[in-house]
Amino acid sequence: MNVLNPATRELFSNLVRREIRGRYKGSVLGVVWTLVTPLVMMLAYTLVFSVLFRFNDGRIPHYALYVLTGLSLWLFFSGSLVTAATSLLSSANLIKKIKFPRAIMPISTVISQSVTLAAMMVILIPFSLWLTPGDRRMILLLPVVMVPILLMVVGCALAVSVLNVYFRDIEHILAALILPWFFLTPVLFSFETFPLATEYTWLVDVLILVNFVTPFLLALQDVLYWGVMPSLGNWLYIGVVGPLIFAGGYLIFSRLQRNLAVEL
Amino acid sequence: MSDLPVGGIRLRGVSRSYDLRVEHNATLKETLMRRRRVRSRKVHALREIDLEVTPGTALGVVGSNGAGKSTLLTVIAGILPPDQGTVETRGRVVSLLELGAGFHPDFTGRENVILNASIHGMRRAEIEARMGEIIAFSELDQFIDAPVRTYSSGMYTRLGFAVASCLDPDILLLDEILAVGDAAFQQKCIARIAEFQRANTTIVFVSHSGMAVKRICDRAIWLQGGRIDADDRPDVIIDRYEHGLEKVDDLFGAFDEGDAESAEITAVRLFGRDGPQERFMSGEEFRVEVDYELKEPVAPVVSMVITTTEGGLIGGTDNRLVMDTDPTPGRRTVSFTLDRLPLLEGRFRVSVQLDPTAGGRPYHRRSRGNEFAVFAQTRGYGPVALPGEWSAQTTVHAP
Repeated sequence: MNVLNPATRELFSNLVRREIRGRYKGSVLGVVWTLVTPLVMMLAYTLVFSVLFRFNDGRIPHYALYVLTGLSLWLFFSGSLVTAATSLLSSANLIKKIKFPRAIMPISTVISQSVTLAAMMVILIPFSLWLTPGDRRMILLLPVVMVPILLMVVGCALAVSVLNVYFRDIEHILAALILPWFFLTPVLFSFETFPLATEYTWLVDVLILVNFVTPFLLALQDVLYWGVMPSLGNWLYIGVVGPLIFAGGYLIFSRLQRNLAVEL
Repeated sequence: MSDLPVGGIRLRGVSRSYDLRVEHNATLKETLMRRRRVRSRKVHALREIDLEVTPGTALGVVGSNGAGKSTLLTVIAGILPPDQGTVETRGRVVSLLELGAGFHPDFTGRENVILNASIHGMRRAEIEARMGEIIAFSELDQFIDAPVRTYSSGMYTRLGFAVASCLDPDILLLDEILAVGDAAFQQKCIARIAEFQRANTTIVFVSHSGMAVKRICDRAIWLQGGRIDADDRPDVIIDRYEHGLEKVDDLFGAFDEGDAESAEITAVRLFGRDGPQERFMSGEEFRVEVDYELKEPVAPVVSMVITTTEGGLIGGTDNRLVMDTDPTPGRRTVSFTLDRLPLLEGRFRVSVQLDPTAGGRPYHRRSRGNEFAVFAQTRGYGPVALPGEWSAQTTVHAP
């Protein structure tokens, strides 16, 4: 599949339009809803963790902004996975009747999720320029951080979409996993403010290394929220793991997609 | 680099089978544990198909359900890879396996046209340019901006064909598309297909309708049990197909004609009392002579079946009890004689088959030709003359 082919690009844009319009067809606010969910979540989490539980002791200034930064990536990641999981199944009719590069289906779900991400960035960037405790210029690195993030998400989406055709359990496993995974990813807390971080450094290491989303999130938080340069180790991790996950996902997809027309 | 011209199709030794599972999708657990093996049956949808279609040909594909027609199209379309063999096509292949595949019910006709055409690889500008033509063809001008879920099935069909017909394919694959829609629309489709033919588009057309194949196609193949059983002019194929020879095939318990590699039927002759003939009187002597040649040391059972030309079975027999068991390669002749032909007026056909004694795929079957007519002077109903006599035992009842 040649992504640079203009016909393919137009197909993507048509599919993304279909998905987004299909999602909000008949609703009054339409695409505005993509922003309502993260904002409501931000308010709720800020209220619960910062005000009610006093979980945040002030070491994370502008906790609401911190949460929103984390949510932008998390909702992009989890939303892409969940919608990608059913993307091939829901297009079974097309796949069985028309020949086209099937990877378009999961990738277009990622693209339509990235529309939400972009909308959140429009809100996040001015606020973080205003409120960041660190260097504002770090925001210039945002596009650089986004590249491995996109590769990682597309890789996961490709793998999940095709695996779910063969084992329909995948979407249920995902549904069960998403929430605990969310709490183990430092969206609502930071490892610096982790009460046990100094005693159990190994636990932090495990949470960072095993949960592969964390390093990507840390890098995003560094440039967008904290205004600091991500550590060299962090750059290395996302620079290597991002392309690796993409390659792995692509490999699984191209292996398993051959017989899609009979498996669906 | 392929020497295939644009619009050409070439299949070499293409086989494709399915696993017909009782439960279709294994869950992760079942796959990992391998505890409950789902019983599966292999269905050979295509067996070693060799097919070459030159650009501009309209090829009709006929055959009974399950003969592999639709699989052949999906394999040519590239939707399904073959298990074995190679499939080559050149140029833009448009498959119309289902009209309106992938229409989104909540979207308007116009939006669906754009989406569907772009899935087929068409540029947005091209689509916009031909939108008027598509709307005109589909006769949906009032409804084109209404969601397609409000469409009737006829409207759906018209829109689907309208989109496909504006795609400028080099190769167009059509599956039973004329089975839906009203007569007027079918005429329109046939007219559009004729335009494609003039534009030198290669067409592969699957249909149950012999009339449509005769009208549209200039070549036809008959698929049976995943093989190309016959490849000829459409009228020849359709005549044969519509005469329902499949019923004979069912009787023999096989879908194959056999490859005639081990044993081949070289001639089947029909004789009356005075020599070869094609017209018989009911009750007259009737003899079938079969010449066959053993190419390998085998000893086939010869069987013979009489059917009506419409395929209705009359009866059959084989020489299993008195067969020639000498396997020496060479020519043989066997004959079967009926002293009194027990048939009434009609047209009939003799099919002859050579089978291995142990069963399995036949060596060869010959059911083409060998037709004969019967004339009857006796009264009766149906194809068979019942060989009995009426008599009367008169009893006078007292009033």
